[in-house]
Amino acid sequence: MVKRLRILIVDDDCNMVRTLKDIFMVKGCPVETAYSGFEALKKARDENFDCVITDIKMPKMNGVEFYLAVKSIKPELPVVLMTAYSTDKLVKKGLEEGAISVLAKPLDINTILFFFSTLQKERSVAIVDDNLNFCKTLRDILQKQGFVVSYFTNYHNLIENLKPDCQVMLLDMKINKISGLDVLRKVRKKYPQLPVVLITAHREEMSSKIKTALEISAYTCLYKPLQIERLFKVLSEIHHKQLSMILKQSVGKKK
Amino acid sequence: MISIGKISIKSESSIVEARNKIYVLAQDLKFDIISTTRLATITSQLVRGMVKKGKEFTLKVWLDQREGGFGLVLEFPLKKIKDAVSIEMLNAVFDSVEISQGEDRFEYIETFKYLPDSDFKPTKEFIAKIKKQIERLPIEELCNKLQEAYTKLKRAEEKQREYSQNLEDMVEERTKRTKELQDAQDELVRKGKLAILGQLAGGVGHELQNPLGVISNAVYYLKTILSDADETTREYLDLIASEVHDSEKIILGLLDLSRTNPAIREEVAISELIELALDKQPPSENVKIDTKIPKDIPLVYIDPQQIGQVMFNLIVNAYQAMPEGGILNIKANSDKEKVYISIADTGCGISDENMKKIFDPLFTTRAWGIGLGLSVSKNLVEVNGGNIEVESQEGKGSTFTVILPIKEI
Repeated sequence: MVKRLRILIVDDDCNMVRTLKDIFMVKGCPVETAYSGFEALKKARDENFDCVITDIKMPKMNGVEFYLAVKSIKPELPVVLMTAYSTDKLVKKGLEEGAISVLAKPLDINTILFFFSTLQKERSVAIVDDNLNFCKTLRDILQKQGFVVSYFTNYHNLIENLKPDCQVMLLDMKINKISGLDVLRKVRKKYPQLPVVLITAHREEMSSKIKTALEISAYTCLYKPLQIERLFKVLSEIHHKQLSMILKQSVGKKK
Repeated sequence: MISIGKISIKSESSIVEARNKIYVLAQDLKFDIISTTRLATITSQLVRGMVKKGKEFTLKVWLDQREGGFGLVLEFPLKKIKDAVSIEMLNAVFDSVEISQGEDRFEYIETFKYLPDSDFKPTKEFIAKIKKQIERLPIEELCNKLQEAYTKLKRAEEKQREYSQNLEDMVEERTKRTKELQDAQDELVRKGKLAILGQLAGGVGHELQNPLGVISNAVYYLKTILSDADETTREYLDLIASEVHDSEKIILGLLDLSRTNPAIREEVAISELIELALDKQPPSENVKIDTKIPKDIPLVYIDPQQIGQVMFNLIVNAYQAMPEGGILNIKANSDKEKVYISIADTGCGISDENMKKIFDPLFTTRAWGIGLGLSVSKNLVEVNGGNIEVESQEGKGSTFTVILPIKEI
């Protein structure tokens, strides 16, 4: 399922906005535009965008100020900053405040297009837990939020059946007395980029295994009964990191 | 009156001197022992009186011919005769005593005593002899005077030598300080220039990114919608895209120059940095690369991005010095504290007069390029606790040695 993306481009440089708009249009991704932070803020408030790309250096309200304003009304909205001034202090600030990335001008169009295509994909989660009800109820909750969910009640053939475009795995640490550590290792080997969030009911019993799991780069561990808000927060963090990775920003950060 | 001489009375020692001289004179004039002693004693007393008062004066001595023959004349200037000697005493010793008042408020006593020999006739030789005796400085005083003079001279010589040495030292010190000051000033000017240029480069570089961004987008767009255009159109679009790409590289080069980040140091293998630089800018066909970096060379404690840039600059410079081809020799060795990396080319070399300028900003012997590469490299190396040295022979080649620190334990 490919949904149509709603993108907002913001820059006080009309030619930059015009060329970007035409490029994305001809590539099949029409975009909205704004020439100032104020205009963009209004549009972002009134309409639902999937992503905003904004220049940093703009008069009256700069890109970072705009981002902070948008963050307060639409915290989940991914914002990408762009700039010609790679050493600007605002670059660092923007990243610290949670912008997905800061891109250097001239932009690499292909990278952005790839980024858009990732945005377009629905977020998919795989749940691995032997408790069927747990899986089903969690699936329903996640689907309501727009996630595509698959679940597995045992480790059997998990690796083989896992869809390659799965973005996150929620893994129970102990299924039928078998430890999830081995599974984790196998998953890591086949899908090194796939974030795995551990779940368990047995905090103390599994603590040493959890420690080991975290050492082999499981993302984090959540304890049953699951706090849904915490889960959404973790999923949001992971999504943010994945988007940032795609843009692999070339500006501001040291290698 | 025949002047025999003057005895200068200055100090206590003059008392003895005067007495002795009068004694000897009296002897020569054939006075008997008692008269001689009396004459000497009176002289001594009169002189003592004045000396005690701290007065300096001159005792004059003559020979005079009067009615009874020749006589000895002594003249004493005194302030208060009464304090010095009694007139009776004077009258007892001398044949005549005359006291007169001088303009200088001295009382002058002139005493006259007939010589015992009434047939005395002063010959030239005799007069000369007694004159000499009066004028002669007593041996001790002479010796003392000589000693004093000698000591003064020696001291003066010593002082002069000291001053002379001092002066030399001061001049040397001053010259050294002046040179140090000059060097520091030159360095400041160089760094100042570099900072300004860096800022300018950064400003210009960043400003250019904006229009370049738009051009880049425009070309991308045109290429997309004109993907089925004729070959020439597509070639032209590729051309624009490629020129934009080159411009981007130049700008990035400019921005490198403006970077003023502090060195973030870590332990790095110098061989890796050199490999990276060689990969980034592979040599042309006619340049042979010869690297000799020992496997056990210690890690250097530097910022890899900055020193990587330095290596890149030096290697590119080396290539550019050998447009007709040559050998690029990269060697490394180390001691307890530092690693020495030498990058040598067999190119055109650097003339003596240019040697002083090569690290100056904006200095270049090429027809293109800005001339900031070496000054930036020097800056980066110094900020990382190192140094760059250069040796060169015009026509033979140049060797740049980068000295980098090893991490202190």
